[in-house]
Amino acid sequence: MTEPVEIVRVQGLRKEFRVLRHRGGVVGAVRGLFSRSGRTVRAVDDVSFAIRPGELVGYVGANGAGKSTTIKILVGILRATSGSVRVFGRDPHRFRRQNALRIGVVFGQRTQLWWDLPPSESFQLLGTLYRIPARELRARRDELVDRLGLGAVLDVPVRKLSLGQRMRCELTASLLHAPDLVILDEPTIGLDVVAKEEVRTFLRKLHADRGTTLVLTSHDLGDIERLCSRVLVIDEGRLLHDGDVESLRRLFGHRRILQIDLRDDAAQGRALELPRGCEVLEQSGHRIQLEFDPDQIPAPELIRQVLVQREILDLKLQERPIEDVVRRIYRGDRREGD
Amino acid sequence: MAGDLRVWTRVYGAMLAASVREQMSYRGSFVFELVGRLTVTGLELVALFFLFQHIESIAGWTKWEVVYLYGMASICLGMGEALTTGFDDMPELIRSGSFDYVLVRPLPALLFVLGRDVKLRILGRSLQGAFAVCISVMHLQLDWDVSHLALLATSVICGVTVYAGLFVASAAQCFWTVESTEMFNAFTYGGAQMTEYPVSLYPGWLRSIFLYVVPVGFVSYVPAVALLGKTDPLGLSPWGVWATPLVAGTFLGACLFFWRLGMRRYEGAGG
Repeated sequence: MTEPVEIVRVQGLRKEFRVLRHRGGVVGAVRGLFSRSGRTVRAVDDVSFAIRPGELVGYVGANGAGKSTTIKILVGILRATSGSVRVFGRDPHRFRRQNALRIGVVFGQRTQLWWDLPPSESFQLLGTLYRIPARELRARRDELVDRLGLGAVLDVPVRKLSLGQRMRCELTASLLHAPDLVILDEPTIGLDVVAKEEVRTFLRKLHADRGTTLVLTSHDLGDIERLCSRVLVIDEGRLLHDGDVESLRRLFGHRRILQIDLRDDAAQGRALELPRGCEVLEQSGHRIQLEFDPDQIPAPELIRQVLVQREILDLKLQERPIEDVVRRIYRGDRREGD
Repeated sequence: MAGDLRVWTRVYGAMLAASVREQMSYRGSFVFELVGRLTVTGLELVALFFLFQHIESIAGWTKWEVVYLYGMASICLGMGEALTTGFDDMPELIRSGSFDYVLVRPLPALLFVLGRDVKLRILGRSLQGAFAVCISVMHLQLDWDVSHLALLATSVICGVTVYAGLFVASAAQCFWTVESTEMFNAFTYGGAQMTEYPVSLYPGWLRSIFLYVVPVGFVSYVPAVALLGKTDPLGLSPWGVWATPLVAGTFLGACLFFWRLGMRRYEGAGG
């Protein structure tokens, strides 16, 4: 079989779920037993895209936008309602087990590791499951363990690991069989800043060294911005945007938000003097939200300037929420802030 | 498929080994749990002995014959339970979404779930059942020949098959309702309790359920009648012995079909 040029090809993909309507009261409950009436929800609606070998694609959307449904269709867990889906040139649902040998999947916030066993034993079991020759398994495991700094936790039962340690073990588990396509569904969800950065660095290196095709869903724009070369944005099941990260950055300007809690009321006294590339987003009581462009004014510098002027109780640095980006795409903003 | 089975056998073996290792590291709790299970099920046997201090026989079955039935029920339920420990946390697997991980493996989901968790300590019930069968057989002084052994083996294999099928069907029910319901327990634990006594004891409708719908009664009663040389008021005996594997196989098939239906539902709706 000749390998198709694209690893993934999705055309006119649609996925509908039936949601049963809940009626109140005893009568409603009885009627619910007999009637099959319900609402049809379109989780994915006429989505088309293709992914070529070696691409690093971010799949972005708010919660419930249709990201996970698409992912589940790509790995063959769910059947598409209509449209055509090909992964490695095959229908992923019909050839789920064959494709599984070439796909690595990470679902954030769930575990594929055996809870009561140490990771090393999970890796061994997965090696058997994916028919990896013993020597190959050991070599790959050692390399991943080394890169992810897992040496110390290899023999600790999984239930005793921190979320960050566990996520790095999950990554190892998903990559043992050297998959050609790696799909990561919210791989950084719930992780702290340091753990997030470790995962990102690892993925970037994996892509650079092996040229592995990566598809990554996230509602954290930081993940997408720092990792991906191409971004798909989905909202309410429809594909809103498909382009390189630069084009998305033009949409949201890769601005960040600094939230400050002041000791005094923000409106009192002299107005805050702000540097170029920074403006007040919202201000109420003791809290003030600044939006800034880190290229013009780095975060530490901005914080220093505010500190000189006011007494600060607390600080929080945030990425622009994904909902914001989606809203801007709808409004058709091509440039912002200038 | 043959390749799948080889991989599955190796995974199953590895899980078994991991289970032994794990239990060795908690030797104390392993012993406690095993002894605990032996005691609980052992008390049932003691109760049976006290019952027979007041009566001679039940529906024409003597004490040691009933002990044999009781032992067989325990062996089959215990092994059926032990074989399917991987299904124990199906509600949790589905609720947490971890079942998706099952579906991205290069093995049929059923085999993977079956092999992903093996708990040996569950075997306590079977050990105690084997003990009951041994002492009953010693007291009954049967003339053992190959046909008796074949009957015993058939009875155990078919019994385990039916109970394992029930546990799989019980897990498959989670595809529709995530809350675990007690419905299937009526047939597994309840069924084992019913078949501790000859099914000829029960009224027709109840008997029919455990003979023909959920055949835990069929696979225990019919071979026992033949093995112990009883007269069978139900007239199932001569042909029924040959039908036993067929009955067990058909029931397992129905349970697996129920699992498939559940899987189809999951693939359509995504849990």
